[in-house]
Amino acid sequence: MKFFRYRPLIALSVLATVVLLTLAHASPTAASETRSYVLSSFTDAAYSTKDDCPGGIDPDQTVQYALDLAALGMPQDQIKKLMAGYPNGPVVGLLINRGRINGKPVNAYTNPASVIDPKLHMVDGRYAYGFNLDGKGANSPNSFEDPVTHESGIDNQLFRVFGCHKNFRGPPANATAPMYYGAEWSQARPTFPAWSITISGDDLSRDGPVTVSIDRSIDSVLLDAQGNTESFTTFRRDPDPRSRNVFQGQLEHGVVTLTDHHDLHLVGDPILMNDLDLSHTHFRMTLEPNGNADGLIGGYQPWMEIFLPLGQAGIGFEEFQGIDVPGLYYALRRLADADPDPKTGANRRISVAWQFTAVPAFVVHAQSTARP
Amino acid sequence: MIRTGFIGVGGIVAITAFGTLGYVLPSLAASSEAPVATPPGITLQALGAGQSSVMAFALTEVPRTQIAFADAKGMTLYTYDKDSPGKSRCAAACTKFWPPALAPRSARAMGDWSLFKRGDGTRQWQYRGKPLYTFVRDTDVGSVFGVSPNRPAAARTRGPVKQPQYPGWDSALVFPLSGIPMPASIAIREVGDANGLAFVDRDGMTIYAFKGRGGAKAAMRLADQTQWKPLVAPALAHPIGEWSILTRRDGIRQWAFRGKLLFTFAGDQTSGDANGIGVSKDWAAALAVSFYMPPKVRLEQTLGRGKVLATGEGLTLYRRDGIAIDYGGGQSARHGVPIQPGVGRSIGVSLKGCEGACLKAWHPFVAPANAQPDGFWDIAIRPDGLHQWVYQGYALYTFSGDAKPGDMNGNDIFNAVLSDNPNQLNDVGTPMTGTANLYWTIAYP
Repeated sequence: MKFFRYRPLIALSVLATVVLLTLAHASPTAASETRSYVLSSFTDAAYSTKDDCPGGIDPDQTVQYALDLAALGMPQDQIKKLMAGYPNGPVVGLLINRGRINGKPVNAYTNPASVIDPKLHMVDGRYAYGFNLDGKGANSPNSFEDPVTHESGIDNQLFRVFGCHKNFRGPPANATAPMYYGAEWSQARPTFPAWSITISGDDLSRDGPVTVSIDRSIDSVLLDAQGNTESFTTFRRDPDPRSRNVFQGQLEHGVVTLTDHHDLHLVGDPILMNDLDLSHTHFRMTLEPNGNADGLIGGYQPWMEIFLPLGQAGIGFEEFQGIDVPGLYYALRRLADADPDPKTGANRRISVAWQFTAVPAFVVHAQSTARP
Repeated sequence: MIRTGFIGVGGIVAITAFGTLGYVLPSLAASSEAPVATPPGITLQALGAGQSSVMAFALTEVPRTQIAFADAKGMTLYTYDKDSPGKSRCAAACTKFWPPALAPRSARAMGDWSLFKRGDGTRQWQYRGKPLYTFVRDTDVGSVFGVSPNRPAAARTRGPVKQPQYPGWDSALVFPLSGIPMPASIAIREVGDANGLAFVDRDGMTIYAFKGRGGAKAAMRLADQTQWKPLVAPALAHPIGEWSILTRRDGIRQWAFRGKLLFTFAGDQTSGDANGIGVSKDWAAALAVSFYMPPKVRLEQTLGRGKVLATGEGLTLYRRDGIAIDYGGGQSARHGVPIQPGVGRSIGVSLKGCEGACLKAWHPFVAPANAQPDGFWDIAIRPDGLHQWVYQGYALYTFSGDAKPGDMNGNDIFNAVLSDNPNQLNDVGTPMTGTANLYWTIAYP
């Protein structure tokens, strides 16, 4: 009898519980939104202006080689004769072994410090893409102004290193030539695991806090008939914890930035860089109306990570890209601006900004498909 | 000689198989139970450029056009056409140039490998009745007729190495296999994921044989229900050798080898995959020859990287390698970049550039004290006396950061060997023309 007496109350309680459970379950789903992207291009963020290399553009590598040989004390007539045979003939061996240790020739690429520093030209201009990494703003020494945001105190010493070499100069001064990293990425992207970005928030059509995941995938991008990265393909997130990065961020006027700036690590590919390893990570990504995205990622990166993929190619890199490898080694070492070695005091990291474009994609857990 | 075969299976029209059997490999078998290519003490070595002894020449594809039988030290073995089974015609002065491949007391005949006594009482290896020798002018692993892979001209050569002529003498090759009657649309290639020389279709996809009970009828029934695709014989194809054609009820003509129906596997994505192995005990890769594998090693399927060598417990095995410059990329592609045994051997068991915590992270994969070189497997003796397994020139390790089968957390860890001291010579143990960029990579078979 008691049951019947309390039946309306019980029914109400059950109804309330069901409603509450439904709401509790549905709330996050109904209000949250996730968009994933996969990188479709990646290159050094270069903003080159006509007057940003007061020392001039770096000479062609054949000219640089002649200077290198002269620095070793070789007479001009001999240099001229040898260089006439380049890229073949005995000069190749001489150039590869233009380092000197105890007076003996050694490989210049495995021993770049044994080569006389050719002192490549450095950028000395007003603008560079990037971020105010050290937080000093306009007071930051050797800093730039971002040409888009016009924020001052931009730290991007990598641009200073590369920016006076023709294959690394970007728009607006050099709008047509492909920049080295962009070309290399474009060529190799179907063969290395893709990098993905996932943005999650309550409502990505409105401003508000977001979570940003930057991960490596098991899968590579697919290309369409025009060689563009296919949109809306599926990527399995690599379970390797070394390439999982989660940041808190903010979406404002369609632009995602980070509100925490911890380290980022993505395993890369030595065709471009062994790893993308950043401290003080900064990120700015614009969600385009057409569903694509583009942006910048930056921070302080070990300069050795930049140097190794270029140095390992040795004379081949110099021949194809026309930039002096030992010169690059010295420039990166000299302009490194963070993470001093506790023993030597030498900085181990350099401020960088990389620019990317991205297309929409589906990013899933690796275990969610049976594909081996 | 014409052999007539008939396979009577209900519901299947059997076709008479005609074929010449002028040359039949007695050991050829259409299953993963194919005979192991080598007995203990006999190794397999890629010849010439397949060794890639110099990093700079390891650009893009490394051709492995020839794989030879070799002695325990990796020296190429040869045959002499004047010899007959159990009888060597190379004696006295001849043996100064062509030393007989002598077998230790513990050696035992195995499969196509047998032993015979020479006049001086020593025992000599012979393969399929052909006595074997080494050549005194071979100085390095992968040398053939005295041409070393370490000579840049040889390392750069694509395709078979140009060899000096020594009339009557031939290198003893396991690959390519020659003289086997085979359909034009089928080939034999090295498939690491199957740990052997496998039959592949015209697209290079691994072929499988049904070895379960119930014969062809069961094979077709099971195949229709699963992911096995019949290996279709073209309309104009003829049976050849031990290859026959069955016509199914649906009219499809399907290849069979030694009466076992052949299939490809829908789960194989690309040439070189062998993902059908292990799906069921009823199916096996159709191998012409299988390669030796130590008892405590297995192939482990991974996500996105194909099969990798693993310990008996399934933990991924790694090797240390130098970056092969490949402007097309591919360092982290499925199956990785080609193995460069010469580079692996020159790096050896040294961990230069991997000190401190790095050194604690990598554990040598220990071989039993009595283990012998066999096939692609060799043994290195570490400075502390420990025996370490070596696969195709590379010393093998496990990674302390891996906890379970399938983990590959040590893959693509890079160590630069570079000093800022202008007077310090950077030496990684292997010739590199570029900056020394060594890395740890999963050991692909």
